[in-house]
Amino acid sequence: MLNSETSHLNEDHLFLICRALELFPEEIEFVTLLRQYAVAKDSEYREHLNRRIRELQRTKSLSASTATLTSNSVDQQIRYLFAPLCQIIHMAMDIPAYRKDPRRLCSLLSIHLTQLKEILRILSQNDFIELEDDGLTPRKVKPTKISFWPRSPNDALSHKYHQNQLIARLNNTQDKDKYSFLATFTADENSFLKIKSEFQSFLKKVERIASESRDEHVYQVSFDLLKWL
Amino acid sequence: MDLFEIDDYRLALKTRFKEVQIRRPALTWRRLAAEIQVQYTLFI
Repeated sequence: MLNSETSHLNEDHLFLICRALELFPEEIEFVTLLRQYAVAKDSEYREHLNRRIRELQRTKSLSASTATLTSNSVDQQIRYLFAPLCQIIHMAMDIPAYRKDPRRLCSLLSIHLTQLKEILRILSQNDFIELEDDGLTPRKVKPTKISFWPRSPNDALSHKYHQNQLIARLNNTQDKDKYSFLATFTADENSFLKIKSEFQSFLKKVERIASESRDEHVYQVSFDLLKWL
Repeated sequence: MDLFEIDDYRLALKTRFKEVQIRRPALTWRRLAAEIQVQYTLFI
C-alpha cells in the first residue's frame, strides 16, 4: 500500500508504523492529517484538510524561526552549547549501544552519572531526545547524525570552547584513532578564499559519507585556516 | 529531513524509515512489519 496510489493504510496501521519509526507526537498528527487528505473524496473536506496541513506547516516553520527568540529556548540552547561533552553525548545517542545503555558513556568520557543525567536533561529540553522517567534512558532520539560548528556567528564563542575541549581530547587519543596535519605556506587573499571554499565543499563530502555510514563511533573534525603575517 | 516539509504521508514514512535504517542497518520493511505485527503486504 505504500507504493499504491489507490489503496491506503488505515489509521491504526499508520499509527503503529509512526511509533515504530519513532516519530514525535506532533509528527504523527501531521502524518495522520496527510493521510486523511490523501483518502478524502469530498472537495470541501479536502480543502479544509489542505488548509489545516498548510497551517501546521506554517506554524511549524514559524516556531522554528522564532524558537531562538524565547528566553527559555535561548537559555536551553546556551546550556547545550556550553555544557561539557553535550554535543559528543548528543551524537552518541545515535549509536545503538550507548542509546540502550547510556551509563557506558560515564567511564568512556570520565564523567559521573549525575553529570551524564544533567547532559541528557539538556538534550531532552532541547527536544533532541525524549527520556524515560528514570532520566537516563532515551525513549526517542531525533536522528541528527552530524553537527556543524559554528552554524552561525553566534556560535563562534562556543566553537572556541569546544576547540579547547577537542585539543585536550586529541592529546589523549591513540594515533590509530586520529589524523592530524599542520601546514604553513605563503599565499594571497584570493587563495585564502579559495581554500575556505574548498573546505566547505569537503565538509559537504564529510556530511554525505557520515550520512551513509553506520553509527558506531563519534568522530570530530576541526579545521583552522589563519593568517599569521 | 523535516517531515513537515513533506506533502505525502507515504513519502514521509519512507523518508523516516531511511533515516532510522541508517541507525539500524538491519531494519527492513519486512522486519518492521514483524515488529509491529502487521502484514508485510501493507508495505508493498
